[in-house]
Amino acid sequence: VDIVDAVIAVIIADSSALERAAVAAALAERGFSVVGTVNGVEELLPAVRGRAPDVVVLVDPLPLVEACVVLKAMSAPPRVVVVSDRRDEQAVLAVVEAGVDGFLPSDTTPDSLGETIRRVAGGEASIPGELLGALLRGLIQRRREEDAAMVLFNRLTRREREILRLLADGNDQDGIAGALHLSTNTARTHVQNVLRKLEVRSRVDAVALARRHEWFDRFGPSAGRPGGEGP
Amino acid sequence: MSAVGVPLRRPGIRLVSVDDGGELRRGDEVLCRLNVSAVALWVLCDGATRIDEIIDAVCEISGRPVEVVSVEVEATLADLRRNGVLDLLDDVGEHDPA
Repeated sequence: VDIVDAVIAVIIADSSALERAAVAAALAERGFSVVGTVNGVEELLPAVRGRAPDVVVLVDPLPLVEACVVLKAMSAPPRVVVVSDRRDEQAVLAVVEAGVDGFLPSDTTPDSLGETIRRVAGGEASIPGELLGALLRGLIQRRREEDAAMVLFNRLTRREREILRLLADGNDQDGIAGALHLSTNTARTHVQNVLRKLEVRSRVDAVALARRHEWFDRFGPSAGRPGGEGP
Repeated sequence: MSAVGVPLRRPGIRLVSVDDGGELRRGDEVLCRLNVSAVALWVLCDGATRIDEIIDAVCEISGRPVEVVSVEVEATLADLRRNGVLDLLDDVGEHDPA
């Protein structure tokens, strides 16, 4: 049975009890099965696990990104629709990158909400047209920044990545020298090479760059580039 | 058209929002109408954004496969070129961004 022809099960997450009731009633009138309403992220995960909705509707001011991430990390994640007044590109981009499937303004009509739920349940995405251009531009810009950062990261040798990790752990040159059994001068040279290759002016900038692009989480200090040790 | 190149809006053409998308106009003349998706693409035709970047971003937002998205994006850009409102550059930097 195609999901668009079946009854679509929905959970509504909204911190306002009045809004929860109103949205639930409006969706029930339109043929949806509202299998739960919750007032916060803490209640959301158990409810989704227990009732396996097709779609979760998240209503601002819930922590939308956090909720999306939690839901999309599930083994069988539901589709997610966000209802929010946030119109700024960065805020919408953040929830889109967190995996949201549909986005609606808070002044949306019950009919529009129902239509959006049906669309995302059927596998489509639903983002307001007026936000699409800015969202696409934001995504493209972010990918360019990631690509540029990877070029910098790939300049580092395995040893220099270890140095970067030790800097991030708060070590100074003496600490790095001790940890890697190097002379202080050699450690200083490695640090200078790291800063030069990353095109940053300070150790703080180098660590910030690594953390911003999650290099430690994604690659770890031992993720040496092909060719092994460098200069 | 293949998924390479950099689309660039032709000068003197402005986008006017209408209820269900937009219209491209030169002066008072309506050159073509765009749906909301085409409007979003039009905004990206700045002479600095490659077609493959546009396709990747649409895939990420829509969750649809690249095979489907690339056909749609390329068809939309081909329509815009047929309407005389868009050029396709070979490389970024060939022209100043609009």
